[in-house]
Amino acid sequence: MNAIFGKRNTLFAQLALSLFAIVFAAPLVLTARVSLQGEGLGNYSAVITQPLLPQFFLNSAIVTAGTILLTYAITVLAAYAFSKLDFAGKGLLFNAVLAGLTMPGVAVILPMFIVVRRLNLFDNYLAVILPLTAFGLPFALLQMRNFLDGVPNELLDAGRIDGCNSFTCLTKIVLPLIKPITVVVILLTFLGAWNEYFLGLVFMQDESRQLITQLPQYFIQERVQDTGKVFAALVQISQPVRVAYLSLQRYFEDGLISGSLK
Amino acid sequence: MATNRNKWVAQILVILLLLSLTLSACGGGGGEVAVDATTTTAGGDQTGETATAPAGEAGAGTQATEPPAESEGEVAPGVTGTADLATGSGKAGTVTFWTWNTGGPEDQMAAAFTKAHPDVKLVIKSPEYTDYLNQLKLAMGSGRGPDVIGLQAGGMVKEYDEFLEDLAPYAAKEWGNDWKGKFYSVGIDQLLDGDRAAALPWFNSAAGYVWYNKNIFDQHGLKPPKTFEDLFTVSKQLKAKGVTPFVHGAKDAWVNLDMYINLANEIAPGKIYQAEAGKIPWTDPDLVKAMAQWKRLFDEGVIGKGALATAQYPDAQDKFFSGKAGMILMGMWHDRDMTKAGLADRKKQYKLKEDIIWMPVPFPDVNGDGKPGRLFGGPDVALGMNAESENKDAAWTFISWALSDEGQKFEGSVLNFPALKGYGLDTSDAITPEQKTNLQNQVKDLENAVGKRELLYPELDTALGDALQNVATGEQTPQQAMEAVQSESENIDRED
Amino acid sequence: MQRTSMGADTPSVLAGAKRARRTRSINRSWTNYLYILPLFVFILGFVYFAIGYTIYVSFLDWNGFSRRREFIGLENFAEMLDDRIILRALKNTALFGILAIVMQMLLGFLLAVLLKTRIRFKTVYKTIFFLPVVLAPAVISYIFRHIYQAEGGPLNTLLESIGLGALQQAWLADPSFALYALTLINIWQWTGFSFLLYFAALTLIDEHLYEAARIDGANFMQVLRYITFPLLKSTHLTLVILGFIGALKTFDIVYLTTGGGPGRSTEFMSTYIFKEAILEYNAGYAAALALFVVMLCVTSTAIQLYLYRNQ
Repeated sequence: MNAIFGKRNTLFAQLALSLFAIVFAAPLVLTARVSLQGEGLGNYSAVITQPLLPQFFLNSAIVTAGTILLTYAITVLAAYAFSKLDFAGKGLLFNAVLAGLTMPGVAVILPMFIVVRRLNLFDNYLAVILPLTAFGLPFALLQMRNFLDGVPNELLDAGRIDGCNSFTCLTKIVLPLIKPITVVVILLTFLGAWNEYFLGLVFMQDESRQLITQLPQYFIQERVQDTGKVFAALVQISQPVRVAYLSLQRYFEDGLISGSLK
Repeated sequence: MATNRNKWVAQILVILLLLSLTLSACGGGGGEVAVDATTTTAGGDQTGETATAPAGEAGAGTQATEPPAESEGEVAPGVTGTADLATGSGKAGTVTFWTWNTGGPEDQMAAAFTKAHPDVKLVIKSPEYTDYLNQLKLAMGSGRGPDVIGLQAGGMVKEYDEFLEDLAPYAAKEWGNDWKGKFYSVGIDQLLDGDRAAALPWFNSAAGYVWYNKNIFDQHGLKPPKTFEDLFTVSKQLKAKGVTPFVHGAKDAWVNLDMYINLANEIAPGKIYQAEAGKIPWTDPDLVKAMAQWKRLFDEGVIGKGALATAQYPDAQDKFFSGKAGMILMGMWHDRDMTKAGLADRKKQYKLKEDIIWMPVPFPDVNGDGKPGRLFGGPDVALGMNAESENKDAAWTFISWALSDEGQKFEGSVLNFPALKGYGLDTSDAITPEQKTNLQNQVKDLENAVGKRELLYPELDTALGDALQNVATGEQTPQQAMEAVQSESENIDRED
Repeated sequence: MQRTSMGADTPSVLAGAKRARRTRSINRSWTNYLYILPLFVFILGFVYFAIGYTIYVSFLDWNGFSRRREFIGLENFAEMLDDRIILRALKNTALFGILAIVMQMLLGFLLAVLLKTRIRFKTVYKTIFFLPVVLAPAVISYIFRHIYQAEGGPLNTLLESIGLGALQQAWLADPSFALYALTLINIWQWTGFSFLLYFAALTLIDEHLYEAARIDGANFMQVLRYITFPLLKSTHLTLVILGFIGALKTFDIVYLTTGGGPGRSTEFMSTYIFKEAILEYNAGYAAALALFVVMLCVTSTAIQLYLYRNQ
């Protein structure tokens, strides 16, 4: 695109982008301002010194890590099969998975409760991890398969001549190639798992098992809500997600570039 | 081209697969449910027919509709006598209590209970209201509910009735046969169904006060409104001084409903309850008139333009208790804001510099009979016992403590209006003598309440909520809106 | 139950697959199904179970937890036929969805193109545009409720200060603006996503194409219109489909800002389902509504794909 963009145009682009950036950043600036309402930075220290914070943080970290691991493992296996292996009903099965994207969240609560009760998983991290994984899989699969579709089949053919079976082809040839899309899958799964609110509330009946998204509740007492603190808590909670994004930004784009676009 | 067609065929097949899979899963779903019904009907008579219910919709459809005997009322297990009460595994134990409102600071309440009953472990869960509804629903439906349940009178008690232990025998054993007389009738009456007490009021509250900021009114030499016309005049005067006269969180159906019940009960006391029961239509001229008065509040600027996107909590409340508005429609549940402790909290919360005096006055006189509006209310939190609880003794230990001298005094001390007669609000922390008198007199207002606050049918709440907002925005005329309510009302299945 | 045992067997079966390798082509072997087995354990056990259970509940008159559930056949679906709120919700969803998708795509595309020039601070821009995507809906809703406040809200204050005071509105409280105000929130949050997809896709376009076009005398707009835009076809499709499904499932920002009001003016299918299921104790009817959404999503996605492929 550079080729057709003159100097004057570059200046124009810089100005236009700055204008858009201001518009997009304004709500973020406001977020920071509201979180300082009332006691200023005191809001943040109140959140950080909340005695349950480390426990909630740990719980969310476990749930998030578990969900990422499961999602990733299952997605890699399945995407590999859907992209590189042949079996009857492939397209059909793939689409059947994608149909899972359409299920509205509200309708899922009651059935999930039944499953979790059946598996007797209350107060177990799996009670949150399993449903989160299940409902995150379709999108992750879509991304991963699209990425693998871009990996030339010749690579695998060559591997096969060298004597690897379908599984060793996966581990030796495919796995080293999929780092970019891995970041995408991890980041998106991270986002979904870390921000999850309701599953934790319902399935973790023991207070010590609550997720970090419950934290703002501790600053809402009956009819008195400490807005500044609630907000500081919200900002704090989204911190890990932000950090994750900022530090993985580069790879994330690479992943998108080579992955989800086909 | 051929592959394109193949993909399209695949798409259609997905839909078919989806259908076939879901239909087969459906059978499984049915079986699942039939099993639920038997495994969790603890204590109920597990008749052969439910136990052997075949899997599938047919089974769920025919057998599962048959209610377990215990939920039919007449043969409630509690009635069999006090012998029942002694069962369970000893006094000591754990009692789980779920509620959306813990009747004062949770830790203080729990500490007070634990001090009185060190052998009973109290585990409280108190999520935000909607989360609570959601959670309770899921848990009760699967036999994982708490031992003691915080309930709202009206629709909620009705929906959960089958899961609730009749507390009348417990109460009779604890307080004697005339136990009902111990309670303020405004609370207990809404929970009794004949002799059955599905729940007992813990503390009461009523809506229908207009709270005003005395500092603002004094500063501008104004008096709180006595008549509905006063309300308009005062609002105009406040506006002229650049003060927001009245904040109202019209985004929330409940606060609109509070306003409407106020208006309707002022224009024609009690008519709204007759309409609720289906005895008169909602298009009754008086009920339409109440709707028209509601509209005036918007048209004449008493309620501001943005109200329909404002929630009563926290938005409107914030505005009022940070001293930025003259009036708000609330109820007894804000009494704590008349105490030094309450004010200190507000000052900290909103960084207020001055001491603000907030006071409630009755709803202004709308019908011109010279009498102000009356409160309407009932139990704020009612306590129910899970009929499937394995710790009924411990559960009753908690409920009876909540209704003991100590428990009721505790509620009075945190400015929740106690459920038992002889107890009132602790007025010692009031800021001004006027506030003290006001708090002391609230018991009269409560006893003089015109009716209840919670309607029995959630569909009606929704229909009225929609109607009120549609009238406020001008999408419907009062007449059209009430016709819509009436048509919804006709669809309600009023069992009794 | 049999699902879990199958899962437990997986390693040994995989070991068996190794032995079979030499005799059969890797490309078509029953063992290939083992790769998708874990996936289907989850999809069947959770997603399809949820759909199946929802179908079952949709045949019931049930409050969601009572022991009493009455089988009423298709009554819930019959009731849907003359439920005017559904129409309203669909209209709202359609308007919201179309506006949001189109705006997000246009803006995202524009930002991506602008960022492909030789400007400075690229990372800063990218970060700002994408950050809203990672924010929790609770945060976003809260902020926008603040921004949209009728009296003294930042947006109205801004309009006032730039001399456009006449345009001030009660953004969320006025039924003629509320839906657009919500759409704007969605656009703010998700433009970054469209932007990043386009940005990534633009990277893949061969620069020589531009050179060639330039030699043929095409100006900038013509290049965009005739070369860049058509080449991004699959990105457009991805965004349309995801946007469409997203619109039908939109819940948080609506529930947390307008709650579907005033009246029903911003009611969406998801908020309506929520109200029926949780606040009104109509689990059966809510299930019927949910199924309707699923069917709508699946069929319309299929139709979109079909149209795309037949183009």
